[in-house]
Amino acid sequence: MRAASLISNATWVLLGLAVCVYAVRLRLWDSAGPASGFLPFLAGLVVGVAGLVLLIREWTTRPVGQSPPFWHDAAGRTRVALVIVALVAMALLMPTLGFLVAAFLVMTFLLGLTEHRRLGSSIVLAAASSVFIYWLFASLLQVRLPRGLLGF
Amino acid sequence: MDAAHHLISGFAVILTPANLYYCLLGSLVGTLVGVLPGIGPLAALSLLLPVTFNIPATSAMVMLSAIFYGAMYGGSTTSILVNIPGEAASVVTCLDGYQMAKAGRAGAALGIAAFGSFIAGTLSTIGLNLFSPVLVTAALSFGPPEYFALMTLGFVVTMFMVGGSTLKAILMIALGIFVSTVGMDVVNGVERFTFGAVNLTGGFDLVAVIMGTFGVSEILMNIERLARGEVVRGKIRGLFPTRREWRDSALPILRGSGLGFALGILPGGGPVTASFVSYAVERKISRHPEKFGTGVIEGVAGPEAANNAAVAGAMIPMLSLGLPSNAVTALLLGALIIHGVQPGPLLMTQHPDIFWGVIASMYLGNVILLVLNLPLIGIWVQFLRIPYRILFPLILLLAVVGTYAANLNIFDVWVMIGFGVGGYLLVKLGYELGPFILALVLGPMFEQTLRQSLIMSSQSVLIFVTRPITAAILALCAAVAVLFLRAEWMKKRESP
Amino acid sequence: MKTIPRLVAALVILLALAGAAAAQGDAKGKLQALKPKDYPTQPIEFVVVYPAGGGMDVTARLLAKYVEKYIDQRVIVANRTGGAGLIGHTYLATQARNDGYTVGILVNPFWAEDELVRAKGKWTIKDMTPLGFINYDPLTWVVTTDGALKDKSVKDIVALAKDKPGTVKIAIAPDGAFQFLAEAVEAATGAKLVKVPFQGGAPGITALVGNHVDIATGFLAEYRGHLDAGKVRPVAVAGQERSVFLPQIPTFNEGLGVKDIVWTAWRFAAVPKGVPDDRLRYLEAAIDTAMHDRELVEEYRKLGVIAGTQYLKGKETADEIDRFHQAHKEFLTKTGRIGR
Repeated sequence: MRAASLISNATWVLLGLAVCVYAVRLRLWDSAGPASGFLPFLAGLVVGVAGLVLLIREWTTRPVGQSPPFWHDAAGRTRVALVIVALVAMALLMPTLGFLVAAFLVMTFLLGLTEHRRLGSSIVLAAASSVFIYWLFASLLQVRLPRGLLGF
Repeated sequence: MDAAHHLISGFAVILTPANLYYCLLGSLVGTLVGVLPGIGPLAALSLLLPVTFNIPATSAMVMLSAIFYGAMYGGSTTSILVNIPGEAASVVTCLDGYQMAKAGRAGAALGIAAFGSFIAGTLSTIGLNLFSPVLVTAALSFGPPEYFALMTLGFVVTMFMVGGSTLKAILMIALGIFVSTVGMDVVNGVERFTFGAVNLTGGFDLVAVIMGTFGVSEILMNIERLARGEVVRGKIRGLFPTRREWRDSALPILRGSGLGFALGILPGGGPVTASFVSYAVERKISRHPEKFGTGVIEGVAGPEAANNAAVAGAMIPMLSLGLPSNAVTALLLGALIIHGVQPGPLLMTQHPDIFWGVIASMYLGNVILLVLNLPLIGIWVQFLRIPYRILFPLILLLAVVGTYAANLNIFDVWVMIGFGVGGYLLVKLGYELGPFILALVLGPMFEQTLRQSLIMSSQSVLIFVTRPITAAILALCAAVAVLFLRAEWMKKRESP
Repeated sequence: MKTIPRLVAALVILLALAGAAAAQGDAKGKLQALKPKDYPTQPIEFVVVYPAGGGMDVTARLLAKYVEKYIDQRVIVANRTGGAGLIGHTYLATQARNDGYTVGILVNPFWAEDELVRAKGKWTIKDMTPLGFINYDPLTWVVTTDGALKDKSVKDIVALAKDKPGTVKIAIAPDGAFQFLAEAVEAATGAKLVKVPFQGGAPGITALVGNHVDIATGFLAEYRGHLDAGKVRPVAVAGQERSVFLPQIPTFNEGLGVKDIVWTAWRFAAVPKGVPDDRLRYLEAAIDTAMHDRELVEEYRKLGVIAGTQYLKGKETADEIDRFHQAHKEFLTKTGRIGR
């Protein structure tokens, strides 16, 4: 956890710095008053300074005993990673495979994720919910969900 | 007595089977859209606008308005149940509402949200009814400098909604302001932080950011910890608020109504700002501010009342002057125009049936929505019994679709994922997301009005003190800031 | 004996109605003849790059309503907003499918502007094939009827801004026609206005009504309600000739004695290039038919936009757009906005 804090605080400092540099290039002030870079510069400054203060504070405090680990356990971390993968897959597949197919695949994956249930019930549930959501948005609310290569 | 007379004629207009049907339909669709995460009243209105082409203007307006305020009722449902705001205006409800649900008090939270919405909706409609002319004149006197002062007040007041480290909250606010500047600068068209990506020229889509920051991050948190089991630890205790909770909610609801109504009138205010300010105010006034964020009913009652009252507030400039305060009312005006009705100061006299009919339908709509939402509470609470491992994929799917539906742009889904992961990491590191979202929402208007004001005054800062309303609000900001700093100072002195 | 004129009147009305119905049926029949096989089999999408409820959106929705009447297929309006139109323009020019189911409802000068200044080579105006002209709307300047400028003509206002630079505040939307109009007036007369930026015409009108600015820039449709109520008064119209809706109001050219201050929103329909010829002809004809429908022209008139004065089909529209593009390019070069 301490390592995580230090890394994040350092990130703030770097981010703040980068933003300030970019903002200066956008110009801070012009004939009309504050220019495009004015507010980003201030924001970057605060982020950087706050990050620096937090960094120094964290660095100089002696840790009391063992600091709690950042991730509860390795299993938890894996689950989180897999859910993120599933979301990314959804974003990648939806435009090409269409909503229904992509949703079905990703849902099946997610349902099987946290507990290794029988594949059968996961598939049925995934199919049912994909179709239901499709109906809800595409038919009822007239939203144009992406269609895949097969036309649905 | 004129107002009462007109109101009665308004009721006469809408108490026809056709208009009742449209009011009911709009309320239903509004609730549905409010419950579904991502898709909001704006999307629903633009999708359903063609449906109104063949019906009379009054019926169309009744239905479309019902969708608008109906969404405010439904929005709290997913906020409370699963920490996903159905609507930007329901973000704040997540903070305490969800905690209440986790403690088994989802029914009470939903009940107070529904009743608070009803009371606020009705009270604000009365306000709309009686005080439109006065209020609209007052609203018009708000120009860029006045808005700037108001935005500043919004930021200052937010400091009170922070529970943990003030420094971290300030960092979150600065981060939110930075993120809000990504995209095209609205004052001069310069692209900022877009690095050539066309999809970023409009900045990050607010819905996508909110869904990610609150919804996806919460799911990731839960997935990490609970491998099995339900959202709720322990029994679901009772479906209705206790008498104590009723009592505690009464004043927050009244305050929220007033705040929401006032902020809704002002262009750019709207339900979102109203809910945030209400939360901060309730927290500051409360006798136990440290409990906010753990599941306090006031944290639900106030904001939910505020976002409903803001709808009626927003309708005032629209109906009285034909001026839109936000994107939804702009669309409602467009709907009027398509129906051949000219909005403007003459709407009241040229089309009294539309003007008073809509107002009357708002009273009715609030009743319909209350009656609709109460029995649903029992159903929603049952949702919480679904094992999380089945529930969360469904929620994720809804989140993805809802986010995509807003602009039909897959980029928004990526934004949601990105902010979801970011939000998750930030919460783990001990940061609060509320201030971030507030800064993101208020940032653009804050910057725009600052620069507009300085252009108006040819760069003289005196404009902020010579205009009475601006000066008054800024003085209030200073007072609040002093109060806050004093409280912090005292806190530091008490603990070694 | 009064019944005879009444009977005649009724007969005339009946004949007119029948005639209209017949004409409509006739037009529909002509359109049917052009219909390609198996098209359209699903709804057609009109893409608007500005938010719902605005002038562009209303134009598109009205057109959609009438096109639907003639083609027996639904036409849906989709708003793809963001970046003041850039996101929608980029989508239409680079991503939208050219199968005839996506039609862009676009407006010059904003379309040419985006291509010249913001597209950065990713697309050109040739990536869209025009279908036909829809309507146009000249920009105007309005003042309140009870403010400091209430009796002044555009010439007076400009003189005031020249004598006392920095005192006359005008609401504009930055980086587009609104701003260019103000700059053109300044360049032609030596006046110095304080240009306060707003996000579009409507917020500017709000600021005007609240007396936070002295002049607002906008289209008639945006303040018609206030005009009817006598709260605002236009002072000049940025068109080639006077607007039929505001015959008393001079054009900028008339009022200031110049020749080239013309800024109008010129709206047209276009499809991504590469749509099959038969579908292209059909869409072109469908829009032309809808534009000839008197009811649609009437609805546009009620809005205050100018329609039904000329009918341009695809090729003529494309020529107009090219001409415009050229002129706009010169303007941008002259004012130093794009390099050589």
